[in-house]
Amino acid sequence: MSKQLKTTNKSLIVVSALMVAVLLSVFSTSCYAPSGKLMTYFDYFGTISEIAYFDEIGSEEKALSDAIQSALDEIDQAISLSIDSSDISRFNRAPAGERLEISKHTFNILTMARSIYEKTRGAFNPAAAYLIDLWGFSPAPSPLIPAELRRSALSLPNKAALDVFSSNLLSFDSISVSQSEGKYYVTKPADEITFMDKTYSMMINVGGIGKGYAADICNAILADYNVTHCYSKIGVSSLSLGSNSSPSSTNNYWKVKLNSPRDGLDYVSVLSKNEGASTSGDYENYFMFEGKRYCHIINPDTGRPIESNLASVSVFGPSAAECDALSTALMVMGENGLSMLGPDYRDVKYILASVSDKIEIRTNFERNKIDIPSSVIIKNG
Amino acid sequence: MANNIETKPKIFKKADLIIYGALAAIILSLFIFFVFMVSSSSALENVYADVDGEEIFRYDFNAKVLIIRDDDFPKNIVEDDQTITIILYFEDEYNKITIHKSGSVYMEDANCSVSHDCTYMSIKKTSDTIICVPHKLHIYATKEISPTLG
Repeated sequence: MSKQLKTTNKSLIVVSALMVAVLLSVFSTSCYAPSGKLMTYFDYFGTISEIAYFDEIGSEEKALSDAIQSALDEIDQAISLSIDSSDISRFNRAPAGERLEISKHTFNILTMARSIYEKTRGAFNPAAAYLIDLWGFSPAPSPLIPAELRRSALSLPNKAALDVFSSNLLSFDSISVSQSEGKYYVTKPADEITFMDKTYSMMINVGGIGKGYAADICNAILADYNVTHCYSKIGVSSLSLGSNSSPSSTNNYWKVKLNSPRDGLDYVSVLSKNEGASTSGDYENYFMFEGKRYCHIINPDTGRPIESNLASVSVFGPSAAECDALSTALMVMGENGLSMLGPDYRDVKYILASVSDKIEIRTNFERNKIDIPSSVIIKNG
Repeated sequence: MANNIETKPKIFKKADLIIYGALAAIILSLFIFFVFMVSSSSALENVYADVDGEEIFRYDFNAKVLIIRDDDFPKNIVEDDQTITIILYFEDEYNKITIHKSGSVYMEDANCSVSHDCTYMSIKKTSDTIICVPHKLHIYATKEISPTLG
């Protein structure tokens, strides 16, 4: 009888200890929030920049903040269309065939943009700047384009202008970038066209890759300060991820929540670390005209806003800059673009979303790295 | 005869089972609460408004309380049963924010730029944000630092 009592007490203690352990683990994973530092900037790229890090860097905090701010400022000064002295503004004003000295950032961005232009067969094309401007989506409308040619509240862009600029000055691979003795240069293509008594040469807009590039640079600066648990986000759609220091994370992955391409609907989240990410969608910037939706992503081939069935494309890959450009290219190419991307992007992960009554997604994420609500329909990856 | 019947020893006594049952019920309820309630991203608990990184106000949807964090920032507040409308002034410009106490926030109006981008934004779940870049105004629903995209 005494032995039986002892056995019962022992099992009670063991079971109770197990239950307490379960309780503690539930509490620790639910309540733990890693303390981090979030730096927010509003002065660059016409949007918000968020740099978050979770490693202790002691007295170097101010130096890190200054280095990040300085880099964001340099990149913005180099590529912004709203800044007259930027490399891109000078390129756009320059006569055809002129060679200009540019910053290392602009050199890097143009080199990468040219490579992706070729790999996506022109679906990502920074030279579509005239078309973006005519459709009213440029952050700084060019003085070269007469206002009456642009989209207004009462009319779509001038059709003849759209036809001209969707057939000319779009060969982005004809720009030439070079470096010599520590200096960087771009040579503007010699092509010119005349339309309505005005002469036009190539105009470019690197907004489709610049924010991703800036996110990559910010994460590289964080790495210089031995910060590995971090992320840098420029605007709402360009993200460069380090790893996650939270003990509740799975293998130091970040759980990245993706915003739904249509308001109010549940959408997916994915596990990601040490890579870049970007989303392009028809919902970010668009206008309605006579009941039809026109989004800010222009198909260079047609000169018109895309009309694919895709509402958003999210891409996770080696760098935020590449993901920025690829997400735009896939929005232009549609679902068939996946087969056209080629071997360079075989490891890129994607989520393509189309919307009817419900959201339908197509993804190549491993199922244990993506959380898909039951309301979202999964098509073949 | 009855006295010779051997009864098998019970592994658990009735009192033990009651304790196990109670512990299991507590664990189950805590699990449901933390996993399904706390981690839910759909229900808004708070909303915060910062200007250039400084918190101006926050609203607690559970307590239905507006907390002003910067008394000196120029603003106008009108409250009724359903909503609180807050106008933040930036010299000659403004942002008009409406908090629906049922759990959503809208930028009703602003005169900060030509396109008034922020007036297309709203907060209905914790991952949503409203950003007015010219006024460095950031309205968001969670202090948790985690990445979102799109």
